Amino acid sequence: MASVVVIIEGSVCAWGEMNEAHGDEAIPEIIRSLVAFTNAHLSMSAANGLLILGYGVDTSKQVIFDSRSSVKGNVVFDTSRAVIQGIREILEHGLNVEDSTAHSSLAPALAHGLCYLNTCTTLSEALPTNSIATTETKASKDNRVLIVSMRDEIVTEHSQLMNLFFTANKYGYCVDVVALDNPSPLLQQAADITGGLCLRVSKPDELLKALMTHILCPTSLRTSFSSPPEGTVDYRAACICHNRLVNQAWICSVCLAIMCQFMPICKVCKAVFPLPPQKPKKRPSTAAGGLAKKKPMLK
Amino acid sequence: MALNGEEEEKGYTWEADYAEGLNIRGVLEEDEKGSIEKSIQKVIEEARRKAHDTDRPSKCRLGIMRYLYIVVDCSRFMQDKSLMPSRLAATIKIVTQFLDKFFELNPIAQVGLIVCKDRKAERIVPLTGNVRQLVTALTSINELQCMGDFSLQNALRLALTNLKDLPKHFSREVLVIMSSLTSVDPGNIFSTIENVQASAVRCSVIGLAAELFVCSQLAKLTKGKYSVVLDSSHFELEINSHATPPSTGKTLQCNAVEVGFPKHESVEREISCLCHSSGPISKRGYECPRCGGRYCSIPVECRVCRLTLVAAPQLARAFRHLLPLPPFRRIDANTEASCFACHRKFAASSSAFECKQCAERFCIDCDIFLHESLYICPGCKTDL
Repeated sequence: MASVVVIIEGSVCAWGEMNEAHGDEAIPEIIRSLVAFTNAHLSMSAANGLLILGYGVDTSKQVIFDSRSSVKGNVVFDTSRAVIQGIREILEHGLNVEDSTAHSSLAPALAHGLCYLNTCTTLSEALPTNSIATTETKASKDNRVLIVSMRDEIVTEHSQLMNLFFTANKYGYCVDVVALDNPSPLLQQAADITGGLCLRVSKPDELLKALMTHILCPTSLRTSFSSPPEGTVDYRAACICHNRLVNQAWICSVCLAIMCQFMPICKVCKAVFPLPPQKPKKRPSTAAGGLAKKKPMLK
Repeated sequence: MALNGEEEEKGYTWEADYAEGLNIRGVLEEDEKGSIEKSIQKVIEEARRKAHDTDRPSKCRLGIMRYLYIVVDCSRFMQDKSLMPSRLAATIKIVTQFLDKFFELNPIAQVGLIVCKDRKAERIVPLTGNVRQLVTALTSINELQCMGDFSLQNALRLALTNLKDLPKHFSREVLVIMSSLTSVDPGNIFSTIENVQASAVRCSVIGLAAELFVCSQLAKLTKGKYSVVLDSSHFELEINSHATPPSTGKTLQCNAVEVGFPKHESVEREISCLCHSSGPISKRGYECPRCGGRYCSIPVECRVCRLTLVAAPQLARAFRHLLPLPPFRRIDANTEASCFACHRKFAASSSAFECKQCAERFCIDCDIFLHESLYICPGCKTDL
């Protein structure tokens, strides 16, 4: 028994950009691929669980499809109606939001998904039929999250998302990412932390192929399939002062805020720092990176 | 000394005083079979619930950057079997778990290991951020090595010499796991405690046997915590309370620390990393952005240029102590409704938990998961 939580981008702008970049067929193609993939997952075993969430501007309308509560008595293997309707609702809702600064928020949706997986695991542990411990631990490892993203940036929620990814890893849930645009560094890190895959799909009609070959099978079987190449994972952090990615920075010892250059007072927690001990080295800092030029000589 | 029947039931007068002072009668009650296991479980559950219900302090200064020395008593008392299979084996198992949790919560902290046997303290691992090194050293201790007496003073002196020269903006701590009921010291222990107190090192003690005055005094004077364990799950609970960073108030100096964020990348020329000079050569690694030194895992301090190398996610993780999720309101569950996060119907006569901000309702399982692991409410909008 494996449960999968599919989290789909629900921002109107992103879907619009897809339409603009790949023509009118893009949106139906993406929806068809998602329906085919989710149906395939449900058909593999009657015990498989599926939850489809959308992450849009409004957090109250998240759930698109839930295999546990949608049926009373009989099992449904078709998600098509729910997916089309759900995505339409989320997008329409997004259109009505007047606040232009509002952005889609992934963190609540992911937290929702993890709670769902967590109860799936406890439920399967409680079942008397799966009493053998070894199959038990394997089964819980097959619970995973798939994030379908269409934009390459996630501006806020950095720390919450990071915490969620680490928690997912701790409980053995792997997070896969399929990006229809360049994947954001944050999602790359997510896949790297949790042992999932991060796939870049350049055209909508390649989405289904990518989902079926790499994502559908449980993580334990993935070595049998050809794996996508491992790229460089960007672990740089954005500084709080200019929101620029830096590979060398100063951090506040109290709140761990990241600053791209030394500042005597922390912007976040207002802590006052003593000046760094190496005063003579501080002077050439006006000639930007005097320190950085000298040091690589050590190589 | 003859006792009549009534007095026999009450026991000696001094015994009653003793039990009251330790609050044993109130906490540990024997059940019909004379076992105190149930009441120990009750104590543990109570402590867990208490930790869950209290508001965590928000926006207070936490010593996130920590230097910790763990002192493990390796005297002959460690072979005692009061914890199964032996005190030493139980300690090793629980400390290994603790280390994992500790580094998860304190990504840029460093831990060292001191063992104390036959009155001599020995530093077996200097401060490091590498869990594997600590665990290997810890598992290499076996019961045959445990002998002689314990010396608290020697252990503290050694920890102090290692900690006192470290920068003041780090939270410096000692955690003593003490099995012995005696301490054989070369001098006056209280002068050592004064020294420790003067250099603002926080000392905590976990006793495996019984409460000792010298330990409680040590913990009290250095703002640490002293606890005596009841059984191994209580031991786990007590040691895990040391994993969350202590709040420090204004005593700690602030400082800005320079760090580097290396990329995890594949490299063409295969060279061994600086941390394992003779170890396996991997095709992926981290390179120090300042000097180009190669490492196979982070966090680590660059051996060439002394730059602390961390990954951005590790730093982000430490943030959440500053923004904990406020506890939910406990209300009676409506059996018609279902949990917002896991979509299960609430069981009859159970209680639901309502978020104070978005008024969504959650079941107890999800409530615990959200507060202990996720630190975010799925119903609320995030704004930072």
